Amino acid sequence: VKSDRTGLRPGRGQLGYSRYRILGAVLLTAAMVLSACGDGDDDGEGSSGSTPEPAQSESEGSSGSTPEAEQGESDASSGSTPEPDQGGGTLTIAMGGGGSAETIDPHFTVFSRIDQARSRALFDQLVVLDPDGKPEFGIVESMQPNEDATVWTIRLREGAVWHDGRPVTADDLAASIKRASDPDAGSSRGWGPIDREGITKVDDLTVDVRFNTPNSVLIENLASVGRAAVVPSDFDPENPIGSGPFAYESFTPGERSVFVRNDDYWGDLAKVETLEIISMDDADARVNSLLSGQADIVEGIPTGQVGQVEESANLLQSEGGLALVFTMRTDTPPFDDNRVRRAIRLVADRQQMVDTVLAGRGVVGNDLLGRLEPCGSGDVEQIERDVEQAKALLAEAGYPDGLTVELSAADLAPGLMDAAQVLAQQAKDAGIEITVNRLDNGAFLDNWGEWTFATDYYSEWAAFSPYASSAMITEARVPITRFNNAEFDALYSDLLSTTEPSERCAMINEMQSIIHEEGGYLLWGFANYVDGYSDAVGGLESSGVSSLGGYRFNDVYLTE
Amino acid sequence: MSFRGRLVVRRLFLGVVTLWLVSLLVFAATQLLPGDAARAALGTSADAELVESLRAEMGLNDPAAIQYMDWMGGLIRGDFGASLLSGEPVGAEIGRRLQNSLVLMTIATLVAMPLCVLIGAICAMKRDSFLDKVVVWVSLVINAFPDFVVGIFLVVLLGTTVSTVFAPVASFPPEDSPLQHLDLLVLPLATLIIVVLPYGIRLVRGTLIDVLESEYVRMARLKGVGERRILFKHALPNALVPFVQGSAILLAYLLGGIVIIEYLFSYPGLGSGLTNAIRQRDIPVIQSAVLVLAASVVLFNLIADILSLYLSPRLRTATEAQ
Repeated sequence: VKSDRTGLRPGRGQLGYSRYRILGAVLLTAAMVLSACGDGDDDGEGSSGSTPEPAQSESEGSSGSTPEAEQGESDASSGSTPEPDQGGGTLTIAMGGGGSAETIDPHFTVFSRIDQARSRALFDQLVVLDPDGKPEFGIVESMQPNEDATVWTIRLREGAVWHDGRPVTADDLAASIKRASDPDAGSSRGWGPIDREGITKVDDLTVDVRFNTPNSVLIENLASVGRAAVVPSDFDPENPIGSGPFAYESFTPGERSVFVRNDDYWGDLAKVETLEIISMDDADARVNSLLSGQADIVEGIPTGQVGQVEESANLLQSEGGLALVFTMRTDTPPFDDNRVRRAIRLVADRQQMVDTVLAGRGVVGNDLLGRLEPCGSGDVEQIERDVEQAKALLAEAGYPDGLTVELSAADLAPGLMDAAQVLAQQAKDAGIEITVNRLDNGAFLDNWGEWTFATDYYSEWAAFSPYASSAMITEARVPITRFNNAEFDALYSDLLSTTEPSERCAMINEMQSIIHEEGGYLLWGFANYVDGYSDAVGGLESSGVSSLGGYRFNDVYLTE
Repeated sequence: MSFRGRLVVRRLFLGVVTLWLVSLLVFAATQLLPGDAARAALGTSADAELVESLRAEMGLNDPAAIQYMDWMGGLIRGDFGASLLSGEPVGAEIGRRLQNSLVLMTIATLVAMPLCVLIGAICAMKRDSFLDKVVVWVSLVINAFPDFVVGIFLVVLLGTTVSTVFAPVASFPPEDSPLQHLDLLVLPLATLIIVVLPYGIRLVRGTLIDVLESEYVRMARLKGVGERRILFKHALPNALVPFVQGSAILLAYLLGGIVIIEYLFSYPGLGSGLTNAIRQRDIPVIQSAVLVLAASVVLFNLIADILSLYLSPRLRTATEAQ
């Protein structure tokens, strides 16, 4: 710095110096804060050397952040192509999350799809739904009811071991059932009228479970509602040990979990080394992570991005996994008159709704829950749009000049709000004026179960009976439509004590026809689950009952 | 106590009062939100009984005032409470996410500030030139876009559709530091910097133009002092005070920006934590996160005020005279 010749303000040079010094100090402090945050154990260069860079290679199996990847053991990014059947690498899956409510405890109250996916990877279930919606035994060899289905004998398959090497025993099974049916955990529902003190060990692999009242629907309920995971008798959710195809390594609710292959699994060994499930709420972010190669499989592609995913990756469509309905309360005018309910059901053009609201990615509904019911739906015919009949029914019911009703709608499942608008349009043809009350999800849920006429959705449980018990009998757990029909109730009650398959089917078909005749549901369509996967992913099959092919991650392998 | 000391204490006190008012406001807002944590967690999978039992377990049936007092009481003891949903302590979770957000903010600030000064100074020196006009025009255009639009634009351009040079999703394992994943930070950082640049540039440009038109600069010019010397010796030091004040606003703006940008990029910071908590009606987390954000804004302003006190000759001599 040259000498100050201007001499305008003596000492200003000194002052300026101190100003810069202060500014410098601020920057220095900021830098220190920054380096403190980094724990000082790593810097940019170090990290880019030790972890694969996910952004730059589209088909890597790894998002490059697990300890396994750094050890380099069967790392999919190393360029060598593993044999599909031997496989390796890290399979990264991004799913819509449940935030901090996510849990690794398979018997816990709150249980979202991402929780189910993790549960299926870590634990064996008594029974699961196969991709066609048929119940399939998991870790059990048989489940046999007695004559009136008050005692079920459950036998484990031989040779199953926990992740720590101990064998899976009848004691573990008994403890699991007791834990899973604990009403204090809010979830005895899969187990129905179980007598929790009546779980007895028969031999090393067999347990008898007693019920207070007949419960022939146990298998359907466990396969659909869940609470069917088997855990060790000393289960600790902090360090969850299971017997599933993957073993626990880490889990942070709302963020991600890392599981590793269980080489002692009794079933098909997992083909990837590591399974990483990331919780990603924003659907756009999920699509982005697929397109950039940060994730191999992502759940829930929004309709607007389907084209983009088809172009640079692959779509996995699981047909009809989500039942989309309008619910009408059968105890509240004007819907307490079946003619009004029928008129509304007749005025709906279901095909048009599937085509416009779901862009064709769905299956037309017939107002019956349980699309994949093994007993079919008997002689119930597909309901078709019939505006004239709807008008006639309305006139008969005392509304010759039309009818005005309010429909409460929220987007609990994508498309529900749009469907409400479409229905309002269609209903005009029969003189029904539907005013759509568009609600935020929170506001809708506040009064959920109470709305007179509302949008709603159900997950596909394949069988009809779990819906009957949870929503349609008078004593239902969640009687949204307030359906109250003595004949229906009697049939369900008989079903519970009937174990002969053909008799059961006859009963179920009869219940379906009652609901189809008089029920409070307008089930217009089943939305497909639309997921995406990269070209490197193989072995992923679609499923009619859940997203991501039913979470059978041990079948999935990575190539390239 | 010196005048300066008293001023700082008074500002601190006012800051605490502000934070208390913020906490009251936020709590009132959470009470107005439709739905609650129990319902948000259970969705439609649960019957009324189950929702009721979860509500009781979460303490949601207590009167609002009691819930607030419980939380406030804990806070005074340094306990942020526990998440309604996970039951985990809020403090640890917020702390980890705050660190991540701070990394993002600090890097963005370190890059953006010098750029603001540089570009702003060039524009001020070459006022009304073609370059100046282009910069002003471009910054107005960027300003007109919401933050997330800028982010989405960058994602499409550099992350997914047009090219896949940078990772469009900045999610990494919770036990890692973001500094281990600098490659993931590129796009969120670029977005943050781009959205804050227009404001900073115009701030520097405006203040410098004011100073350059002042009498003493004209005097210096008349005396034949070179332009460079005028800028560094005369103009910049005098533009520092408004710039420091503006920086506080800039940082507060960045803080607001991370809420959206973290969500957009699935970055595990305070902003995305807050977004999740709001969706799940996790009131203790919402309260604590907002309080931390508000406290940061208060802190930025406080630091800016104190810095101004030291930087500004007029204020400094005024205080010394007392």
